[in-house]
Amino acid sequence: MASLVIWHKETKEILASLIKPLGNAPPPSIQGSFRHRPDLWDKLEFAWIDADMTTLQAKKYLEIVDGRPRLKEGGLRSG
Amino acid sequence: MIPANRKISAYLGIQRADGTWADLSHYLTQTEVELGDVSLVGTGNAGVDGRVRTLRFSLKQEGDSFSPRDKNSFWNTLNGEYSPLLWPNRKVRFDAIIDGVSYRLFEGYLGDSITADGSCECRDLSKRLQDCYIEEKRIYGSENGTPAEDVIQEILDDNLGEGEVELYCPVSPGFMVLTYELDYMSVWDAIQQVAGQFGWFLGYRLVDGEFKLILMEPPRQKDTPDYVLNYEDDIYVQELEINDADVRNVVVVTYKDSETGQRATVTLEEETSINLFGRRAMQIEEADTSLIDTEEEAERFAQAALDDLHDLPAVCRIDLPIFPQLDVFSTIQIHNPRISSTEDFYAVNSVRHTLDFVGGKFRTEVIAGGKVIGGHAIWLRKETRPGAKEPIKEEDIGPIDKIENKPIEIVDPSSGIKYSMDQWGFVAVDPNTEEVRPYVNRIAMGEASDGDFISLDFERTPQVKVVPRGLTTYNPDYSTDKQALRVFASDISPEGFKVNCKLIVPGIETIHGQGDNLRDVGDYWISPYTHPNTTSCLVSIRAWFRYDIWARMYNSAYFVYRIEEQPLGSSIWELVGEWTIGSREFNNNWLQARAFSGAKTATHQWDTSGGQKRIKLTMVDRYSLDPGTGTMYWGEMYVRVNSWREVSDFVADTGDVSWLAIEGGGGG
Repeated sequence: MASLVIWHKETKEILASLIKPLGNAPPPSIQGSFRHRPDLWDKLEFAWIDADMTTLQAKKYLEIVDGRPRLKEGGLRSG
Repeated sequence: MIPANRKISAYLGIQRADGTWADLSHYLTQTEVELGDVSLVGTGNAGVDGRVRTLRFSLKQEGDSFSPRDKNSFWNTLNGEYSPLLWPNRKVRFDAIIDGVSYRLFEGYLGDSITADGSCECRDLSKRLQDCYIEEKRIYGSENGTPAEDVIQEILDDNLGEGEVELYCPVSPGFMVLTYELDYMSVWDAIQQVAGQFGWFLGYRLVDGEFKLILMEPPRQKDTPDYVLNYEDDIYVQELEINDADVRNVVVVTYKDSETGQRATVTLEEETSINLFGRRAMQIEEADTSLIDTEEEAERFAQAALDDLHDLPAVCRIDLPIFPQLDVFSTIQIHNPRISSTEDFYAVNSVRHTLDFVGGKFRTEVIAGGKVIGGHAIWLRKETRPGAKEPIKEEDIGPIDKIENKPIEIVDPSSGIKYSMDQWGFVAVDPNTEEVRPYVNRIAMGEASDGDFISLDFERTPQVKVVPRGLTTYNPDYSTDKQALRVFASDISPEGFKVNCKLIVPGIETIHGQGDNLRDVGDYWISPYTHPNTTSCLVSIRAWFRYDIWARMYNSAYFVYRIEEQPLGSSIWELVGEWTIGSREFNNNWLQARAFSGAKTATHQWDTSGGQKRIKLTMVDRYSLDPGTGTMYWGEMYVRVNSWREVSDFVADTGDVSWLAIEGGGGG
């Protein structure tokens, strides 16, 4: 799994998509990436996806449907 | 004799930021000037121990407010600019004026406590020395010995600036300091450590109408009274308490002789006291690193302790009409047949002058003993406690390597390159070119977007580099405006960092000054409102720590704080974040406690939607991870907003970065 997508349970807004780093950093998590916002922890949901996708890319190309992130219609294209 | 009818008034002056003095005498309701603890007899720190004078005063609210946050107040405006009068480190002078004669009782600085209602606590000029922390290790003394007063002046010059604070030493103590390394501590503690080696007084006293930092021998042999007081009209209350618990008449000092390299012992006795109270011995074990390293110095040290402890300690608390001439080391003769059938001689150990203009009470309270002493609690703190084992000597642990923060060094004989490793990392140094080649401890890299927080969980603050990998460099919609890239890492800590990657149209940046010191859980500070079009804020946090660490132990202090923002017109505070800032130190000395004080800083940056906002900093929690390993000075520790910036940049686009974080490698 390459990226962790984090979204708000109620609004379905994607807040972050964190690509697993190389080296000595731990894998991304809700608690690590929102370390200073413990008030949000139980309001967020996450899922791992196969693609390397940054937050800006995820906001642009993904949406949350049935509790899972999926490509928007006509979204990501190669080339 | 103190005259019965006197005209009493006072002068209270506070220095403004431009050096002029504001006269607040008219607003004064109550003041207390104190040197030492006068609340109890025979316990606590005496003025001769504490050596720091404090002033507390209250002002009546009449006309413009004294609250430092009232920007419309006359007192907080200087040349049309906001400049609060009651503000940390403003100089304060206080005089008692009796029958037209002015007596300076205090000169020092604001800062220990300033409240909105005009009640303040100040420390004397030593505050500057106590707040200045020695950040660089230096060597003092010399192989042949340097006079102690010169060493003290060198410490002052090195840390406060050449000639900034002049030591006044009318008579040299004749104490020579051999080479020693001065470890991290406050300037005040460092100079007291030197004076403590021969039992002299070092503090601010009035000399020729001016408070000077004086190094002087307490007038221990003084037996003539400066003032004669009579019970009929001079003394309101005189309490007598006799307690021999702290009498010591045999003093044994063990030290390391610099010539022989061996530990040696000096013993002094006071026969009269032994006959009166029985034999009361105390042992003082000076560490190998002590400045006392000759027999002469050890004898002198023992004699000073013996002089101060062989008699009954402070035995008398006297409450009398305001008498500003009295200070520590003053001597008085009292005729009070309700207490004693003779005219008794006393020397002042602690003193407090109170001028209460509302209650009409003008008093001087003193704690006095039978003779002049140079210290009481300071000697007893040096005593090797009964029941404790004799301190471990270096020869006892000779076969074992000392655990010290010394680097392990290996030299490659073929190239001369020195490889060294310590707790901070691993480096190689080429002796020919002096090139330093740092090796890293941890490294991580990846890709992220503007606004992401990257979690690292390192042990030390890393070096972080970010470079844009997907960011518009020009937005034609704003072609008439200047455009700029803002790509950087913020909020860098061992926990991680925040990514910033924006194309912006630059706006206005406004920098604001520091907020209140927050000391207790629940304390908070609220900023003024930002400008309406602020798009991001950057807050710099400063925390100050002070604690003692017992030998071979860790001690620590941590503050948890929260930053919130509130839009204008809303009652809801929105959480920006909650962080922890702390300090943990180890004392690697086998025998002596270590005093630690120092600051830590952190910065937090966040984007904010338009509209006016204000910021709130709250202390959520404070704790130590190592309870019971040293005294915690929570009253002096604080966390505060050191400065904060609001920026009204317009964000034209955001983007992605590639990032690299390195721990070690000379980067922290």
